[in-house]
Amino acid sequence: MVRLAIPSEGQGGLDGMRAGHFGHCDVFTCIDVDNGQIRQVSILPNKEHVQGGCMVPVALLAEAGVNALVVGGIGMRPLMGFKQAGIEVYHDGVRPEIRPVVEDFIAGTLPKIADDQVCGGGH
Amino acid sequence: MNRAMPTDTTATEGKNMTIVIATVDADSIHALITRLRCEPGVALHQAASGSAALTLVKGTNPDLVIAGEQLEDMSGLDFIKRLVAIAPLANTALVGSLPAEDFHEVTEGLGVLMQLPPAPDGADAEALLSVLARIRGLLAAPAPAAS
Repeated sequence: MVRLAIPSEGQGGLDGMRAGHFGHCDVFTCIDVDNGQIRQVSILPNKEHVQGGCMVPVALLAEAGVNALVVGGIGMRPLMGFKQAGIEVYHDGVRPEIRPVVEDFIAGTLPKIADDQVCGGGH
Repeated sequence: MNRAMPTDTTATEGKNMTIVIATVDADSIHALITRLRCEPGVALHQAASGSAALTLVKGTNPDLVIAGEQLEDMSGLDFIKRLVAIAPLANTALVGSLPAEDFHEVTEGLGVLMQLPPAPDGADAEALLSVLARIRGLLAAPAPAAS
């Protein structure tokens, strides 16, 4: 079973909208996927965002048993933090809706983010 | 002449907080160090080069790393870029004098807590400790209930 997290706006949910910055998102929509099927969708509220506190959502998602995340962008430090926590980070920088991104993740067509795709640091 | 900062060589076990300081100019951050030393259970380690500081980081698993603007072998910014790749859990502060927007631009994605002025004082140490405490509090707080 894979627990996929999508940084989301507002109340989240499969029909909700993705948040552009995972650290500032309102909630994480968590989708449990087993054998290519969605088994459960749950909503995990984010914690407060503090400058430099990018390990807070990393710890939150790791504690929630998340093992995959889809972002539109991410910095090097949180990316390395997710990697250390065993959470695979996937990338879709285009579509604002949650559902089609989840469908692509299940289909195996969503790419993992590369180290040179991180935000900032001169990139 | 640089004032030598006494390096705490005791084991970090049992300490509340481990701090690595990478600087070639311990004199300029003496006031900051003095205030940090007042914190109970702090272990301080210092190196003048980025490569030596990275070795310290690997060996001490620090809570906080403070980087000078320029180290013996690399800039403080380059040091932090290397640091996040091997120790993303370590919180960082960087000494410098960039305008706020420029600092944000060059450190974006690196999760630097704050820029410290070239001669940080006790008040800067207080501000740094305050941000660090806030983050530690968030990390320790129970996760909000999922629905």
